[in-house]
Amino acid sequence: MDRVLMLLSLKPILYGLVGMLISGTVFPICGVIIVRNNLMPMRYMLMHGVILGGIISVSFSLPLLPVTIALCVLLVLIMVHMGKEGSLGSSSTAMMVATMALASLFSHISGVPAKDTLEVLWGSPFALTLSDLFILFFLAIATLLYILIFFRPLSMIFFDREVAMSMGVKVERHNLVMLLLTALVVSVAMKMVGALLIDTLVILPVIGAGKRAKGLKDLFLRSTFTGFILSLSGYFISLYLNLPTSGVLAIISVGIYALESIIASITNRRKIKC
Amino acid sequence: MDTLLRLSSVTAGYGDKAVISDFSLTVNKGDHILLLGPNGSGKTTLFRLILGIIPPMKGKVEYPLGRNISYARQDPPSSPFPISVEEVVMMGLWKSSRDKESAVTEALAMTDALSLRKRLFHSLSGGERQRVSLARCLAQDSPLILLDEPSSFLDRESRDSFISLMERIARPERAIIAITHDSSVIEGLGWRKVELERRGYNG
Repeated sequence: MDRVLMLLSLKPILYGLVGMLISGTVFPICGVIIVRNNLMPMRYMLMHGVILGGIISVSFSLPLLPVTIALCVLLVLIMVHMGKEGSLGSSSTAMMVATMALASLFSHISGVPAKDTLEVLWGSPFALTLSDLFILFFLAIATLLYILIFFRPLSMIFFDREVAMSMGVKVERHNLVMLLLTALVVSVAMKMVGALLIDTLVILPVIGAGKRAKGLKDLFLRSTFTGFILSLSGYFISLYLNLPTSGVLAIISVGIYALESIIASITNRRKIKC
Repeated sequence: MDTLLRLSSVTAGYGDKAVISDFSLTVNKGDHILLLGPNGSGKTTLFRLILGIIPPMKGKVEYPLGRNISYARQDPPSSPFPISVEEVVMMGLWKSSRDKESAVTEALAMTDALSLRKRLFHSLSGGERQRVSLARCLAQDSPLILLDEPSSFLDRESRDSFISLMERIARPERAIIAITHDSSVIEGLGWRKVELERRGYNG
């Protein structure tokens, strides 16, 4: 324990803790948007976008986070434009392939060794800089404000888009905001836990919490609470055992999901008996 | 008479395919209308046009007193996502300054759905979901209500209570347009009938 306390006096460790707590609490909010709006294909596109961003940032010695954020926002805007004549699922798949192709070509032309970009796949909260923390903080505030201010119209969109439109909700505008928010969150989450384990922080707390949520507000609260506990426990356990944070977080996240599933099935069985 | 909706020679459809042609209808406060017609005659398309979800290809859609419409669709969403009955009804109160708790209670009581208040919407039966959707419309308290096949999930025994519910909500300050194929509902409700035919109007 002394070692953990000593480690916390180091700036990268402290920044990592702050970053994990903010993202653990706020990212699941975006997870609700991804799960409800079925944005999984778009998530893959963004994950590949971050890999391309990694290659570009290494090639030009640019900071990773702003580059990946800009790239992911651009990808979403192109995807939405292409999706006007079809579905977002198709356009995000096309963009995902295009992004991987560009990453491959860019890596070859600029001579960036593939292994240098692999860090993007695993991420690390210890790599967060103070400016990254500021970006994360403002993103968290923006996400929270968006959900709090527009909770009612968003709940209508989540419930039924046609009903939302009939009640005067600007569905298309909210869709774009939700997609951009997702792009920002995925870009930042990549730096924390990496491309391979992004679901750990963003998706799993939501689908775990969804097993026993009593409503939409309850789902948001349970998801953020789960995310907070997950990031806090995962971070300290990884420090204590000297293991990679992303891997530890992923294991705990799956554990919480399994626990929620078991409790939900026991509760449902009891209800049926009653 | 207070006119809530005026459709003047509208043509509407999807892409370049017109589903409704040259259709006119005026709806005043206190009008209670059953919209009849075979499948494919454009009843739901007409609702989408009135709601502003699709634009008219030709003609005009006017709302002389402003567009304030509540709408319950034929098959309310049933995907397993946790939204409670209370939250669904509260959606109707989005822009309202009424006391939310009492408005939700009142609307659910009106549709005999008060016992469902704490349930998750997706866990309800089709008929229960329709009653809750109707409660949301009532909570919205708009002067024009559009109901798409509101009795489609009801069994024969529930028809009478449904007809009496429709009679209760058909107040003079409110207009209702309901799509139905149900002959017992058509016979049970003495409402004005408007019939759509494939690519035509016979009302």
